Amino acid sequence: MEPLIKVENIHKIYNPGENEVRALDGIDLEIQRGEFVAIIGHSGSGKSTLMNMLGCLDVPTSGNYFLNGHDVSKLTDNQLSDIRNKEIGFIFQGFNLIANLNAVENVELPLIYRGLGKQKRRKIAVEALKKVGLGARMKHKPSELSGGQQQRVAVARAIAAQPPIVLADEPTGNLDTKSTKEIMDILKGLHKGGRTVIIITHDDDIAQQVKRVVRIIDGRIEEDYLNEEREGA
Amino acid sequence: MGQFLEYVKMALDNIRSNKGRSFLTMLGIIIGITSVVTIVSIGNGLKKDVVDASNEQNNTISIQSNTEEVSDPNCITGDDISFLKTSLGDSVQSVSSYSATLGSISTRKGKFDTYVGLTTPDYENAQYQSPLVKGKYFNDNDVANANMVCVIDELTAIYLFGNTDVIGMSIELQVDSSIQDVLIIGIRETSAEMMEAEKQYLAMGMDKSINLEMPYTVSNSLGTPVEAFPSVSITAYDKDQASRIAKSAIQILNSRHQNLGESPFIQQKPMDFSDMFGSIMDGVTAFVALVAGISLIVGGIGVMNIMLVSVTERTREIGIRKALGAKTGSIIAQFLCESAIISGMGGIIGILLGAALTALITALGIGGIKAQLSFPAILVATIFSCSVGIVFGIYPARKAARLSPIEALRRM
Repeated sequence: MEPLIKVENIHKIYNPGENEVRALDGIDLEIQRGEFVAIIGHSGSGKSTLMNMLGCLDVPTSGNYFLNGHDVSKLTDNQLSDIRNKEIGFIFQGFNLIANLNAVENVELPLIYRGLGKQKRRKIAVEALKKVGLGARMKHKPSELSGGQQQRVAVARAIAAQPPIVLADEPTGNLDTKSTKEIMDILKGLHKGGRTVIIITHDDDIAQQVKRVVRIIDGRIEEDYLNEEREGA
Repeated sequence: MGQFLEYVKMALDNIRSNKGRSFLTMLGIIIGITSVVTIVSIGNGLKKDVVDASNEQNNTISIQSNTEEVSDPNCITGDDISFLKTSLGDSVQSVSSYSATLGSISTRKGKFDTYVGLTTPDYENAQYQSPLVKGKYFNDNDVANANMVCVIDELTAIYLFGNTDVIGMSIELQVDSSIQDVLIIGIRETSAEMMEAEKQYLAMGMDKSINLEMPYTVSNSLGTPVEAFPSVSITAYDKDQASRIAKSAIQILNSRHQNLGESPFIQQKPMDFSDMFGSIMDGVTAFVALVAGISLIVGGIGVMNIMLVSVTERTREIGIRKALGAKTGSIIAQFLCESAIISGMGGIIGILLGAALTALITALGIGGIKAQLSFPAILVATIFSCSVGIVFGIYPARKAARLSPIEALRRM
């Protein structure tokens, strides 16, 4: 079966010329449906750039990226918007909720851009919020929620539209230990439910909780291993 | 359409969550629209007043000799006037002509400058003339015999003699070198307002203006002969008949003066003046409205400014929306809706304020202005304010939509 994500020799070069920065320097990566992957690396390693590529927020300077069988490395802005809307659920370190919308409205956002009607949207959003345990806080604005709760709203937003991929960028970076555990439990639950989950992190503790780890150093893949194998070794 | 409503809702949500700022942004548009609506309404009211006033005189028609065809404009004779009166019959109240010369009269009280009105018997009932309270007006016979008789008004009588029992009394009238005794045969009423006004003039030390009305034929004896008049005034009983009467009067006069040319007589149109005034008013109103309209553009720039600030402030929100699948068009639509709604709401508030101000000005009667709301002005104001929002919203909206989601998300 075709991999869900197939990245072929991707380069991303900023400031081409004398002071060029090779943020990604020839990455090859395949991720199958249903995998639970951590992409780890220190800041400046290029992991965020890779996450932008995988999330279709940016296009590579060279190389190919096949998402669900489609080459997305050469799409226009609007086409990328569509792909992001349908294929990817984002979870960010800073939650990235819209401040003047309440929890359920925030969860509805990607559904609006998908063109769903109001009632259908609301139903899906409510279900997603219940799934992350926030059924009682739907009408709360982000400022009325704790960090952990805000991140759970963000998770609900990411999964509401049932995208095949959940892409989490340092999802626990701003959270305390208890909330970190809550979020990780939810992500693990998503993986168990068959979703493909990719976490970008610099935290080895987080990396140990996932199945597969991809370590990036200086824009190249340094290591790509399964935690089980390593523990077994 | 459904999507469009989403953008409207997003825009409304955002306007609502920034009430104070949204209102301040609207203020420019509000002031602009209020002033345009009010100014146009005042102009409208003034114009309507004048046009109404001139329409009121419409039951009196003035027919004059056509100076483009006739060398001597004085070509309407007393016979013409009598003939017109007979021909036009019951439909007309009066057919008269009037001319005047200057003279002076001497009484026991002294010598006074006077206007000598030389006219025809129907002048008794001509437009704006007060009714007689004593005696009678001169008749065709007096005209035929050039009798030295006159009609004065109550106030003149009191001024000259101390009372109004002056029928049958004589006054000595001098015009140039000719001196004649003139018999007073009738007294016109002086209206209470007129009496009051004249008293004030006198108190201010001004001379009373004295008017005599006499048969025009006496002009021969006075040394300034009046054989014919340049115009004739016809007052119809029924306003609606006026234009028909005017036509037949011109026909009659033309046929009586065929030697003078094709169309020696024309109707003097009172409307000409009101048309002219109307177009002047329109011009002035348009100009002042234009000046007020400039404040709308300033208001629009205010909207643009705030929207630009808003885009900068909401960079992160734009990034989130784009990451979640918003297309360039969606972001443009959202921001354009916002600026259009802000200026549209400003426009509506402005129209309401303008209407209120218009009503207030009329109610208070400032300067006697009856301001009249102009619906075309309201329509133009609405369209203009919405387009201001859209035109000045495009730049900020495009700026927002072009943000790269990565750049936008990176900003904390």
